[in-house]
Order: sequence, then structure tokens, then C-alpha cells
Amino acid sequence: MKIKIKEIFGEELLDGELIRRQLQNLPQIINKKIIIDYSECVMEYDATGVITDYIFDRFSVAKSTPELIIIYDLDYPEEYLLSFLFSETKFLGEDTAHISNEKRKELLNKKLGECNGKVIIRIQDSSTKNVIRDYIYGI
Amino acid sequence: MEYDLEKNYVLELLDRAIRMHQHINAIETEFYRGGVVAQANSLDNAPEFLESFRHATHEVIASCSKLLKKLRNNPTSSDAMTIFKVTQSGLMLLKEMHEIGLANLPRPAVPIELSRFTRIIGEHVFKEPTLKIALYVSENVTETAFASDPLGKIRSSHLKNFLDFVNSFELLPDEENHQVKNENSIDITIPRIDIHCPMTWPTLFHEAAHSLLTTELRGKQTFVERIKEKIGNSLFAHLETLNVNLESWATEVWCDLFGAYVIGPSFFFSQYYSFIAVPPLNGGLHKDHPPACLRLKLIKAFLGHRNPIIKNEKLSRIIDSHIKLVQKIDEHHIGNPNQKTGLRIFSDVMRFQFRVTFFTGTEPEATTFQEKFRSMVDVVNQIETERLFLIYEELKEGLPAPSIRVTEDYTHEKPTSVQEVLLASCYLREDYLLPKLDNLLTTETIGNESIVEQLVNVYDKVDETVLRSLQLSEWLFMFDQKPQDLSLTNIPNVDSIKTNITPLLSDREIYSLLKSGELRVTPLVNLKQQLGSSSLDLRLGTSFEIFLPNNRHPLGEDFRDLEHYHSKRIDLDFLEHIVLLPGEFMLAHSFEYLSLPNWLAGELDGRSTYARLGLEIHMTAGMIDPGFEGTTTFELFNGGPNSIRLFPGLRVAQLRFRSVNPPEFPYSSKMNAKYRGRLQHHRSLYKEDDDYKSIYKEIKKRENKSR
Repeated sequence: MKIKIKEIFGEELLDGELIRRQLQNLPQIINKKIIIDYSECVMEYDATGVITDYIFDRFSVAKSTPELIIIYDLDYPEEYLLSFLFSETKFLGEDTAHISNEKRKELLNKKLGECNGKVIIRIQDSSTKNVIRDYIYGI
Repeated sequence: MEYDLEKNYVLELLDRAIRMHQHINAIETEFYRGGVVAQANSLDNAPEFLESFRHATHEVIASCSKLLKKLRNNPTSSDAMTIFKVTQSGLMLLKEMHEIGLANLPRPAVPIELSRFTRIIGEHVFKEPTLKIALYVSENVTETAFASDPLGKIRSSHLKNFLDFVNSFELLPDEENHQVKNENSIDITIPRIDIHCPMTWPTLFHEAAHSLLTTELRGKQTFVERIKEKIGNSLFAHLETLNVNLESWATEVWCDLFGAYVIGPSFFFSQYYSFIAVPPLNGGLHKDHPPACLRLKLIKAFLGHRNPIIKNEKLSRIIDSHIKLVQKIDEHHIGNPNQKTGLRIFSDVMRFQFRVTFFTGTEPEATTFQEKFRSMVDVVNQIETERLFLIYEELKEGLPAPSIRVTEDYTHEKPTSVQEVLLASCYLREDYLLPKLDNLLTTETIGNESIVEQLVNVYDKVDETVLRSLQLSEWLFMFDQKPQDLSLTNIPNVDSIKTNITPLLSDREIYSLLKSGELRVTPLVNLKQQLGSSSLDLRLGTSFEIFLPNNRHPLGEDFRDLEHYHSKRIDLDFLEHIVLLPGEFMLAHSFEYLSLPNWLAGELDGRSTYARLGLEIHMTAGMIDPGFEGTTTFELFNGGPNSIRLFPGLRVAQLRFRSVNPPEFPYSSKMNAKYRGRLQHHRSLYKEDDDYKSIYKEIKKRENKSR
């Protein structure tokens, strides 16, 4: 199942409250494997974290093993991506905005380990769609 | 179809026009009508020159009225687009009036509250009480207004060249060479029509941040070097395609985030006001400044993480609407900023990198930075929604809010912070002031100038209330104490006090009235100190009026010379004092704003402690009518042989209360209540008394007959 975020929430993901109010626009998540495409979006953890939490909640309700592929089109350093996608999420726990990247990575692996989950952050060229690199977490 | 953005844009133009009108009034009052300077330099042709300015702003205001009416009357999208362009053109007109026109008019004095604000920047941001903050008032309104010390160029080039030239000669043997003096000051510049508008002041923190951003704070690397190292060459190449001065862009954003960091959400609003007032120049990206919408979004995102208060529904609705308007304006020039990869990357890098490196990071460098500004940031973090809206309600009622109640009753208040008052005043502008303008202008006809003056009066009142709040609160921190048990028993209820006419209320009765809010006295931060057995102490306020002998127009020479009653107003800053010389008379006012119910009268008197020094508090005018509202005026007189040093905040007076049968016409209900709702003392308005008017009219009539 692939969700193109720009088509649902627009290109600007800066306002967590706004995204929270629009979560019902996301399609029903029934698959084990979900691909979320954030290409062409401006991301900020306040907003993207809401989506991350929502998806992990759905996984939990469906009692399925989460496998999440997150696609992005800009080859940012890993610490940017992890911060934008996982800071302050309920999934990682409280106050994860101010921790170091190493700590955040460690926490993500630990949480995914607890639910046998897997997350791949895939950097993909916007025009050729070639994969530039994958960051893999969990099993 | 609703055209809210267009309407908001017109309201911004209107706001700016009223500010210009207000500024012209201030010039007239200070230099051409009534002020000491005016009396010394009477320039007869100046008022006509001012009139042409006033006419221009009046035209803009009248046009805004038409535009607002059109927007309410089912406009087409083409109408809306035209209204948008007309508004931009109006803003451009006001910019030209400010930058070119005002340069020909004298500058009114900077209010004491603005000096205080710059002092706060020095003491609490730079942490150097001895550092001089140089505030320059400028005719320029664009961001170039904020380019450092305008005299710096003269010092560093012309004066240096001149002195080098002088020093190159040996004019006199053994004389030391003259050198250009190095000024240890931080330079801040403010457009002149903003000097009385506190809502715009938070932007000064952005200006101060430019001086703060030294190598010590930023590190050895430039921002550009840092960014390049972090994101690598391929992403950095996208930034280069923007073809702008990236270091300057990053610096602007850093200063924005710094401003938001230390002064809180009011910074967002003040930046919005400065962006909206100046329409962007012709197409394309500005070389040195990132697009305004991008900056506002970065400020919003930054505040969102730190100050949850901005997620309050009322505030976030306004913030989002401002961003939309600015984005619409920007899109005319740069297209959709999100579709430019370079801008997306810039925005992401700024948000992440600055946050981690400075404001929230855990690295030693970042924690040192955070420690330096902790005291300011702690105050920002303490802004609470409930308190904010209480302050807003007070300001809306025209009451100063140097403190706000902490409990359900009104007997204990806590001083308010600058950050709280400024945010409340920004919200007041958005939620009360602009809608009021909209309502007035779409229902009234702007045919005569009285409506415009009415609008200006609304602004004056709001500004004064906010300024008084800022000025007084600093003193209150010294007097503030935790609520103390007053050990009062058998406190009667309000109804029983009201129905039993009492010649002198006791402490129990005064307390009961204060607690219920029936009698309002604000600020009230230490009731135990102020409440006597049958009186309530009042503190001395911060403004004074000193009367000067009028040598140019001796009294009695001509009846009209009563107009020339010379006086000088003095506003004291924190910890400043005034000296009352033996035999000297001056006006002052109570620190407290009073609001008496219509069945309660007050009697003002001095306190024995100060009477023993020879201080008199009133000149046989100690009665306060039922229903009075405002600060009470003190007519100070030193009847002793020595000077008396007076500080604002001292409890020099006391008020006794007596309940009366409710009069038919309480003070505040009277149309001719001259001193109602004043936030400080006012000079005698004897000329407004009907009997005086009658006498004057009769004399005039006889003079005309004899001619």
C-alpha cells in the first residue's frame, strides 16, 4: 500500500494540529507493508510525527508486524531525516526532540525490536526514481 | 465568496494609515501646539504643512473604507485582485510618505517605555548593564533601516580621514594625536512611526541579534561553511541556484529565531507587521533577505516546539491567516516557494541546523548558548493561556495590566512580564482593534474627519494602556509578595455594605469590596502593606507635570495668555526619582487605576509619614466622586524647608471610602466628566468648564463689538 503524502496533506507539513485534523483523509491501513512517499514535501517533526504515530497505531490495532518504507527525494544527512520523522513521536517516547542522533537511532531500533517491525528510509531521485540510498532500522 | 485575505490586507493598510495620522498628531502636539518646544519655537507655517500630510492619510483611510465596503458587497475575483493591487499601492504611498516626507518634519520624543525596552535588551539579552544600547529613530521603513549605527560610517570614514589628515601635520609640538573614539554600543534602529507602537518592538530583538552574532557565539565557521559541511555538495548546489547571499539569508533567519527564542510569540507578530508594511520590490528573490513567508513559517515552526501557547486555537488561526497573506504577496514575485527545491532545502536546513546547534541541542556549545539566555527564555516559557487572555481582557477595557490577578478574587495580583503584555497587545490588535476598524469603516461614512480622529483615539487609548502596563510592571516586581493572610474576620458581604450607608469604611469592608471586584484597584500586589484600618494606601505614579513661570506671556497681560500655561511633563524610568523643591508644586498621579462603584465615594489624603516631610498630596481637591474611573491626580506641594526626593511606587497617599445613596448621575456617566478613564494625571481642563466658556465667550463678544 502506497500513500503519497503530498496528494493528501499538501506539500507543507509544518503544522501538527492541522495534520491531526486531517488524519481521516488517510486511506484505511490494512496492509502489513506500507510505503509513505514524502517527496516534494517540506517536513517538520511536529507534523510528520503525527503521521508516523498514526501509522504505528494502525499497525498495532491490526496486530500486524509493521514494515514501513518512507520515501523522500532529498538526500539529507540521516540525523535530519530521523529528526523530521521520529522526534517527539509517541512511538519513540516523550522528549525525543532534544536527544542526540545516536540516541534516537538506538531508541528507534529498540522500539522496532519490541514489535518485530522494520523501517526503511529510502532516498529516491525525484526524476529517475532511482534509489540513492536506504537507511534500515529494526530487524 | 469570502475574500478574507484581501480584507485583512486592506485592514493592514488602514492600520498603517492610522499610525501615520497618529504620528502627525504627535508631531503637532509636541512641536506646534501646546508643548514646551512649541511655545519656544512657534513656526506659523508648519501646521499647514502638517495638514497636507493629514489630508493624504485621510484619503488613504477613506479609500480603505470604500475597499472594505466593496469587499462586503459580493465582489468578483477580478475586483478582489484589483483591491489587492490598490492596497499594495497604498502601502507604497505610506512608505514614501515615511521615507521622504517625514524627513522634513521634526521627530517626536521617544517614549520612556521604549528606552526601558532597549535597556531590557542590554541587561537581559546582552547581560551587560554597562553596555550602551543606541536607539536610532529612522525615516527608513525597509529592513535597510536596521543597518547598524548611521553615524558609524561617518566615524569610520569621514572623521577618520579628517583626523588622519590633521595628525599628518605637526600643528603643535608635543600635542597628542586625535583618534576616532571607539563606541562600545549596540545599535538598534526603529522606523519613527513605530516608536509609540509597542506591538512592533519585539522586532528590535532581531536587530540586537545582529550585534550579538559574533564569532564567539557563532563559532569560527560561517553559516555557509557549516551548511555545506552538513549537507554535502550535491544538495548545496541547489542552494547556489538561488543566486542569493546565503550567509546573509542564514543570518537573517538566525536573528529571527533568536528574537522568537528570547521574546516569544509576540516576535512573530512584530515581524509580520514589519513585512506587511513594505510591499516587496519587483520580481525575484531578495539578495540579502529570504522571502517573508518563508521566514514567518520558520518562526512559527520554531515557536511551535517551544511555546505551546501558539497552538491555542485563537492564536493559531490568526498566525495561519497572516502567513497565508504574506505568502500570497510573495507568490506574486517569486512563485510558489515550496516548488523551488533550493528554498525547500534552505528552510529544512535552517530549521534543523539552527535548532540543534543553538537553541535546543545538547552539545556543549549549544548548552553554553542556552545558559546565556536562560533567564529570558524562562519568562517566555511561563506565558500561560489563561493569564494571557486575562491581560487581553484588561487591555481591551482600557485598563493597564502591569499585574494580573492570580486568584479568583481581586485582592492579589502578580506582575506581568514584558513578553506577556506584548503578546496580549498583539492579540488585542488582531482580535479587537482591526475588527473594530472594519466595523466602524463599513458602517460609517468617512465624509468628515471626526471618524478618523475617533479611530486615532481608539489607537491612542490602546497604545497608552499597553505602554503604561510595560512601564509600571517593572516596579511591581519589587513590591510583589506571596498572598498573605490578612487575618480579617467577620467580613461583611457587598450587599450589606451597599445598603448600610457608612461614613467611613473599615478594613473588613474595603477588603470585601476588593475581593468581589466591586471596587477595582489595580495593580494590587501587596494588599497587606496597603490596607490600613480604615484606608487603602496609594502609590505614587511614574509621570509628573512641572509648571514653569511663563516669562514670555505674563499672566494678566491679556486674557488669552491663560493659554500659555507653561508646563513640562516628566516620565520616570525604573529607579529614577524626582525632587520636589521647597515651595514647589507639581502634578502627579496614583500608580493605581481605580474603579469605584456608583454608590461609593473616595476621599484622598496624604500619609502621615510624608506629611511630616512637608508633602501635601492634594490642593483641596481630595474628593473622588462615586463611579469615578481612572488614576487619581495628586497635586503635590512641598510645604517644608527641604527638598523631597520622590520615587514612583512609594505609598505617599491614602484613600478613605464612604458609601452613599447611588447618585442620579455617577461621575463616569456624565458627558462632561473630564478626567474619566485617565491613565495618568492631566493638566487642568478648566477651559472645558461651562462657566469658563461662558465668561470667555462674553469677553470675546465685547472685544469684537469694540472693534
